[in-house]
Amino acid sequence: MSANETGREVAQLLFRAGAIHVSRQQPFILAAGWASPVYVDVRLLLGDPQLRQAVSDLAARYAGAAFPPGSLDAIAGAETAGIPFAAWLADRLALKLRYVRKRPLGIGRNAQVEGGSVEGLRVLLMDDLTTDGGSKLNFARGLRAAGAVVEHVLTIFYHDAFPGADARLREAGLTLHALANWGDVLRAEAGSGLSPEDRAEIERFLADPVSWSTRHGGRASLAPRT
Amino acid sequence: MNELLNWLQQQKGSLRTYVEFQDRALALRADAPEQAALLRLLADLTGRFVEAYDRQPLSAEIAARALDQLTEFLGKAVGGRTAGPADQLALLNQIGASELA
Repeated sequence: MSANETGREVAQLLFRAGAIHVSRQQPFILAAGWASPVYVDVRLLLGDPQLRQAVSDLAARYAGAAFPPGSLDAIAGAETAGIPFAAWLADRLALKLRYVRKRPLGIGRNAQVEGGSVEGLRVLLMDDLTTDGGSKLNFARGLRAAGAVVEHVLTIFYHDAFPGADARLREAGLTLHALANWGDVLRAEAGSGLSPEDRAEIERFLADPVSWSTRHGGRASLAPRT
Repeated sequence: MNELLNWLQQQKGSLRTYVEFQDRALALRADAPEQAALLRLLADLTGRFVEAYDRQPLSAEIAARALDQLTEFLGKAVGGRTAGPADQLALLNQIGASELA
């Protein structure tokens, strides 16, 4: 299965879950400060057995193709939504499972990691969503501080409208893998229930997300800020 | 405290604003121990907001309202540093009884 086919299938699952929220009147403020007319709640895939099995199958198929057998020792789920996806993937790939907290709890090298030692393990970090990559860097730092070798991040959806995440993660020695992104959502749109007006607004946003954000009260530049 | 207020006034009020505010407020307690209770309450207030909206859709309206509220609390605290104990306690109680947005 090609990356495009995987992306389109994941996008269709997101539509079936009702995870693509569009608000033309009142934008959303994303964690990094960008204003956006769309919000993707990947966690809605968790609740339905058919949807979660389907997305887990797609993740396992992707990981099987992207990572040669024997190249990973463990999957680490990012607190909170990354944990169930990581658990299902670890199960399918018969790999160890860990999870990594947003913040250290307690003291010592393992303060951010739960589920056992990651010392010397080659760990795939898994989360539900990536926007600017900021939280992934934090999770990877926590895993590395505990001795893990972390070179890859896998997310179900990559909110790839705003530039910079790929480069930021690459600088930190991380390769980002995403099962789906905005291009996949638009390609999967037929029959999805996305209205022509919503689609047009998403396309306006994607054509120049920084200007769209600026006009709607969000962050206005790529310079780091909160 | 002034520096924290100036910083806050330049933010857009995304969730990361509140995560960083919490860290800054807790760190500031070492430099301003006389404001430790106030800073702890503000840090807890922002922490609860982060928990409530972590990976939830945060509308621009709620983001703006929360930022205004936090800025107002901090502004009152900065402006009331010379106020009497009763007024300072009243502000602490007001913050302690509040939630953002």
